[in-house]
Amino acid sequence: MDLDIVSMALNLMMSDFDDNGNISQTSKQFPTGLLFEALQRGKANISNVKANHKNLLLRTIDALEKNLHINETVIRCKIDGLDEDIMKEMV
Amino acid sequence: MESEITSNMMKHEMTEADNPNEDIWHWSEGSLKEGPYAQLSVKVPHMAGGKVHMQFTCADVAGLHEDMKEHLGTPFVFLGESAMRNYGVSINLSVKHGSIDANNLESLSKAIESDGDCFVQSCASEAEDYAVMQFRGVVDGEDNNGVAVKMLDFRIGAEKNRMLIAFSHVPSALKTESMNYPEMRGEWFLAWLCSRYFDTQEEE
Repeated sequence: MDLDIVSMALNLMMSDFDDNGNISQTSKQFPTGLLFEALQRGKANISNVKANHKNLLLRTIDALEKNLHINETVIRCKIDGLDEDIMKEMV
Repeated sequence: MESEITSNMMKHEMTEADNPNEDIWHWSEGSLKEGPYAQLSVKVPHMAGGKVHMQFTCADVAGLHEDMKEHLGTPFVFLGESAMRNYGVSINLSVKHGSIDANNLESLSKAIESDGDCFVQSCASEAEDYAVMQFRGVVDGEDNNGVAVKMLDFRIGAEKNRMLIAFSHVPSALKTESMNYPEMRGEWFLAWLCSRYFDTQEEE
């Protein structure tokens, strides 16, 4: 199977997280743009990943989001006429 | 005189690149594609995945890029590579996977898609899956820890569709050992753009 650079980066970070509980070493090897693409790839494949790898992928996604300061980003969306509870039910 | 945006932005300090390279600012003759006016738009399908990918174009793209060089000192933006595009600039933001913000972002994308007639063409391709983000001003909000922040207020595609993006708590840029040039934080860079192109209200 051919692996592109984004999948390779994601696999390396999952491996790093599995071995060390963090991605601090592997994340330094890639530019943030590529880390962000790897994060998007990981999120898009949560439902496709093997069951025994799903938890590792989710924890790697969490680590990537912290590394990329995404937990600091605040984006609130509202639709006038709908409250948040209704919006949640739409998902 | 400062605008409400600039007075609430963290101060930007220019940081030298480890190895400056003038080529990163260069565009070949005739390659820039000016827009008719300043316009910010967001790729709607990506919002469902928690990603906010924005394009900004204006009538003087070369001037925008020159201002970035002079005032910011870097073309690079966090979560991307160079922000500079031949049509203007591009910015990525993202919200935490599985968060309420991510759910609401997905709901907003569905609401915009259900309207159908508010899509505009991408500045970079033939795809017609972007919606215009109209800047309405600065509002008060809270960050993810309940701390007060200032937020940019946008309407997307229709007046009822609101997106608020906090900017006052975010530093202008980051530079780690592995970065040659500093990388601007997307929220800060977005606020910088809005202050220059959309913010007409000023306060003393």
